[in-house]
Amino acid sequence: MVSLLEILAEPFMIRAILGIVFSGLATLPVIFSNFKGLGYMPAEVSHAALAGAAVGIFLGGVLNIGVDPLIFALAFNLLSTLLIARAGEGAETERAGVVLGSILALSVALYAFIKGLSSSEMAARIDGFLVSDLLLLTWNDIALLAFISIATLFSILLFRKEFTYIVFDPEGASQLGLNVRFYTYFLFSLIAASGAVVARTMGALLVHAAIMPPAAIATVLTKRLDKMLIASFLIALAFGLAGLLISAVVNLPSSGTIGLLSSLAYVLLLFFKKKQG
Amino acid sequence: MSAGGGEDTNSIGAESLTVAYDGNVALTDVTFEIKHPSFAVILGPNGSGKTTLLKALLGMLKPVKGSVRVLGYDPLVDQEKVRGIVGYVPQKERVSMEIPLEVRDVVEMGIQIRKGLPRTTTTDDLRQTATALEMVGSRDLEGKLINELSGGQRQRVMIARALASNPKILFLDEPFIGVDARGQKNIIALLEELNAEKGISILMVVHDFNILSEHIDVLLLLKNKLIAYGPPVEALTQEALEEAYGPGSRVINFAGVCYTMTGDTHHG
Repeated sequence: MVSLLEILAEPFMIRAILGIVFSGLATLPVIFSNFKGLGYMPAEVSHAALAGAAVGIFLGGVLNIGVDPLIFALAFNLLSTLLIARAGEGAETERAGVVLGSILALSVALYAFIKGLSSSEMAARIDGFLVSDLLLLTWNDIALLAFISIATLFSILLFRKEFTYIVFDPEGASQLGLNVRFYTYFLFSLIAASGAVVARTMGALLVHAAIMPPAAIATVLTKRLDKMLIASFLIALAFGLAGLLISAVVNLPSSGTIGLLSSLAYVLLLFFKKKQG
Repeated sequence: MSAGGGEDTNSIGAESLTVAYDGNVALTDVTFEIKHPSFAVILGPNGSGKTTLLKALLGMLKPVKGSVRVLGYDPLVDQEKVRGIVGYVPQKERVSMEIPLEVRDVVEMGIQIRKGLPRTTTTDDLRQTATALEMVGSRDLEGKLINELSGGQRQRVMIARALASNPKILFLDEPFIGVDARGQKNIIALLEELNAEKGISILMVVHDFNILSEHIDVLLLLKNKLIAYGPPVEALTQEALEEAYGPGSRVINFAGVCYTMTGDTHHG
């Protein structure tokens, strides 16, 4: 009988675990977006990632260009979040909401349109961004995901104070001389990158389920920001690994199992917190 | 009033200041001069341009006409100079208390941002933070989370942040919102002490003038234009108050101190 360790040592399993690590790192900007009242952002803009991936896969198939669709997904996500950030300047939340809605509609329309034009092989690859499978990640995916995730991690480590300041008191920070606009766009870019990473590892549909519960649970468990960031990553990692193992044992899709596990844990935590008063 | 007061290096003032948002004029032709150090209040009904005036003085808004001067500097031209001499306490609604920050982190923000990158905390920063908290009598709160403090305690911390870089002027926007009566008294006593003993000018937007009437030197009464300014007993006439708040508002003089009855409430 094949032992668990032997399964874990398989290259597809190593890639899946690395995918979980990268998804865990994607929760870091979510902590800040939650406090900025933009918790929905990573999940919503991941629809743009889906449209971007569809464009990338289609162009790659038709024009035979060798650009990874994740690059297109990231570019679409970045463009969308920056447009939303621009529209939301000056606390124009309604305007930002309209732009977000338009982007969602456009993305879904573009995804459906391109899928209709695509061959069945391309259509299946496009749908791999809708509901992805960690076990299908390639080394090319891992290299690109590693680059984006490490860049996100370093950005959070280096500019944690700046992000905290723009979330806490943008007006006061601006008066003190901080370039609030630059750091807001920077944070939005990291949110976009995180959405693209999770759209690749888990699928655009599961971005919310994969990254929101760990960040939300971390917020409930600790009241210190640094600990919150660490806890969010570790919780995502723990749910990711547990979900991966459960999915292997009971033969379920890995990303769906991880999303379900995270959401269930969050609901349970809120339930027990409420019971404790 | 000195028409060319903006040139004075020892005053805060505006000259024919007109500010508009999206084509809507918020302030028209405002001219005044306040000597430094003063304890001044900007008063007016909702939407009268109080915060707009404060933001213009901070250089956060560009006038469509006229100019402002802060101790001789134009905040739009000499941004860094003005940032160096002004401490700012924004309106409570503009600050997100959701994010869990320790009091020392909030105060340190006033030092770190001015330092530029990399914003590493030095022992000097810690000392300055402690001093600023000491000045507002909140040293004991240093390790506490700001979102677990009372309204009054939070405002003191925000004032400490503004004081952390040794400003000459403090601008405060509605500092008493969400602060109970005792907290308000404590903050007024603190601001009075900063003004009298440290020579710091205080300029604040308030909604309720009566709690400050005994304490201030200068009042600016606005309703999208400057209706009156000067010592409260001179500036706060019945006509001026009615022009700002409409008929039914009353000025009451008692023991040489002015009080107002306006029936006005704060709407953020």
